[in-house]
Amino acid sequence: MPTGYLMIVLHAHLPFIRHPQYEEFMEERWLFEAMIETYIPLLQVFERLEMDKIDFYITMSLTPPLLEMLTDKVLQQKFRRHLDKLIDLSKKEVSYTKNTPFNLLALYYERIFNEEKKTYERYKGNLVNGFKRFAKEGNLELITCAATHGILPFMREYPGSINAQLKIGIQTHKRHLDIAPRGMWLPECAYFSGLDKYMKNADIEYSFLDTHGIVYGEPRPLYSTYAPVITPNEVIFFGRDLESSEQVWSATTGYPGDFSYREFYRDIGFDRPYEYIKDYIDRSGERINTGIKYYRITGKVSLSNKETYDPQKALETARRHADDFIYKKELQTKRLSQQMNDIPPVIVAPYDAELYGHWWYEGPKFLEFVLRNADSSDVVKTITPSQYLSKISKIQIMEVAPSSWGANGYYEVWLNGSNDWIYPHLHELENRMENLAATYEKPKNIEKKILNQMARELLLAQSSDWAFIMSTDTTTRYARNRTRVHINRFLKLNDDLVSGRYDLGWLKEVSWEDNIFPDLDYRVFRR
Amino acid sequence: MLVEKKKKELLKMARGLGLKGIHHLKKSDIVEKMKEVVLNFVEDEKTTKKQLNKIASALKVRYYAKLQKEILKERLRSLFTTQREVPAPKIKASLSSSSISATRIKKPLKVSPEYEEKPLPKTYDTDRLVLMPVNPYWVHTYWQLSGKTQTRIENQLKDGVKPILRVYDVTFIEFNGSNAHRTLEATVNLDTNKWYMNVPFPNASYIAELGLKSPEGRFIPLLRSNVVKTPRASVSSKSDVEWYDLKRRRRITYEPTGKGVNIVERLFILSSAEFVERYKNITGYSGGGSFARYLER
Repeated sequence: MPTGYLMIVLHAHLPFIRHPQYEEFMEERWLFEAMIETYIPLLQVFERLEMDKIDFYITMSLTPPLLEMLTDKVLQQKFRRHLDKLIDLSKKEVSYTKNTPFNLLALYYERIFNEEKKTYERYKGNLVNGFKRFAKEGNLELITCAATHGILPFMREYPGSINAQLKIGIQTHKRHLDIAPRGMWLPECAYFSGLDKYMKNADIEYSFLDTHGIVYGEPRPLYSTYAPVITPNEVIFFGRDLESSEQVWSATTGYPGDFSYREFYRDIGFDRPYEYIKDYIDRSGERINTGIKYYRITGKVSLSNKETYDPQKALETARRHADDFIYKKELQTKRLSQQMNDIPPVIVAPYDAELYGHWWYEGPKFLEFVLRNADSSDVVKTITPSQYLSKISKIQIMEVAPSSWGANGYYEVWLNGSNDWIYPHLHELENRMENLAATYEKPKNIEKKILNQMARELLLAQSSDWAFIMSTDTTTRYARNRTRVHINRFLKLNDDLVSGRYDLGWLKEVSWEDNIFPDLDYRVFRR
Repeated sequence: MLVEKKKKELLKMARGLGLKGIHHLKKSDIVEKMKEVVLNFVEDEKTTKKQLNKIASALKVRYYAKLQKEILKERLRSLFTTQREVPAPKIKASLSSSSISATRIKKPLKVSPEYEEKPLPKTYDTDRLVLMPVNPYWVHTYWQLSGKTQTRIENQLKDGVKPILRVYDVTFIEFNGSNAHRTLEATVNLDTNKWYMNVPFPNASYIAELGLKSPEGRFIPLLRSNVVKTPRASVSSKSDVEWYDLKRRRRITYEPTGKGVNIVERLFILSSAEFVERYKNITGYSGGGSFARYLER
């Protein structure tokens, strides 16, 4: 019996971005970059661990928009093209860097991109198959998320929308993964008092909150965040461990900032002559990241003074960091177990999946070492929520506290001067949608089509991603447009529905572009 | 690429850089002049970020304010180091791309994108006052007025009558309009349609009213909001632990044998300043909005 457990949770999410009418679309690259740098490398980590017969347990939330995009034929086709072009570019780089110190690195990229392609094809172009495989093996516990990552506390006055977000999330998970999820990741961990009732209603057994969601709960928790709690409405919550997040994020000791790790900013997309690189950057000619980067963080020096990246050295650093991490988890569990006695401590370490690989290039390797180390440790073992819950019988009852895991811990990231203009519209639409869901009991076929599309447009407008992007003040034009487009589409559909003057051609086009949740039934928006 | 810009635009940019008397020059020569000025600043160690910002603004570099100094320098250099020989493909502003991007491969939507990018309705002709919690100490409110209410208000807004927003602390009470623990009041401009209010207590219930106040101090409420509760901001003093049996699915009485784990609270102000500094501009570079989420953690 180990002394305690480590519960690693990776939240994998991207907003639904799919523009089939364009051959290439800049924002679709977010998905492709995440696939190349995070999702495929993670699957490769799982494969290596499996081959080496390592016992590892990890939890991932694959959000409904991400599932819909990963399984979408249009995006799969575009991704193949994107990856092929990248392989093509890496080949060009091998000759371009001949007789320079970068040649080995160019060869390295050519090799890993080709390996990625093999992994991708092994899962028949559908990465969900890969995750499903490890879920079946029992190594990976897959949970769901609200339909479009909407901030649920802002829907408090519109229960129909909360129902829809929760139920469509579960339904989409079932459609792609064949089984009902036991847990749900709340978008941005955003909780309000009373949300648990809806969760219970939707058969969600457990979820996660940021540290203060648990430690500010009432009555106060006996075991801080190191044992889950259950609310009076019978939903279980795990709380994020402060120490584990600090170890990764701290300025002084945080891992990703190590000088030997790869520098994110220096990318050949910006460094190469325009003629050479023009086919691999945005069609408009705007220079963007290609994913081929030759420099390491080096230190606090300007971009032009960065030194050459050494993958081998970076790998050693990742190993050292993983050793340090597991060593600290062992100390922590030993210390905690003395204070807990009747329940084994569980350290909950949730992160955005895209941190691993996309931002922190060596992240997946770090994770691999952590999982290997935990397998050989006698003190701390990795565990999933379902496994942990089967090991305990007693759990503290508590009213958990409203919170989120965004900056400063509450809702201000999604509600401030840059994005508050969206809520009068969203609330109006939410109000209309639940009224329509109640009044249209036996719709005509065309009415049903319109109502379902209205539901899709509302859900897409509700994505927290748009408000988040507006808040960070970068690429806000896309986010603002997406919000406006979905709201305007909803309003036009609503007008058509009421007036009976149907715009069939347009409806077809809109349904073709915003095709998320094909099995959706608007009645899910009933209060 | 700069040289592909219209001469008029180039001259405007050049003016922004302080270049004068160059109207007669060819486009490529204007670009050369600009290059000289810009690189002089970029390669000078003493140039401040503020100066770079000014140059970037003149040259219409996107998000320059968000970019770190070194990155901005690279951007500015790249404007002049890359020469395009083949004319750029004709670019159409796309439906909703943040950048101009790509060519359509399918026939355009039947309703033009302009329809969908058109501004949203200013009002939905309903009366609504909504209160939303921001954090333990702030609430947000917005209001919508129907045409009827709007007219009614306009008729009364004279002789010193002022539009007023009130927020009442109604923690643990059934609010009847006059029994609040405390009333906060602000004179508002009705056209702003929104307001942020600093409230005194976390874990307290608030309700808002929008109304008119006469010079004599009489308040006539027009709209009343929903109730919101601000989030807690501290550890609860209640420590009577209750237990639940997961196997039997019910409450149980149980005396825990563990002595308990001390609670460590997070101080948000200590959020790894150096790390944040290093990464805060990351989205400006990649365009990956939600990718940057972890920076906020």
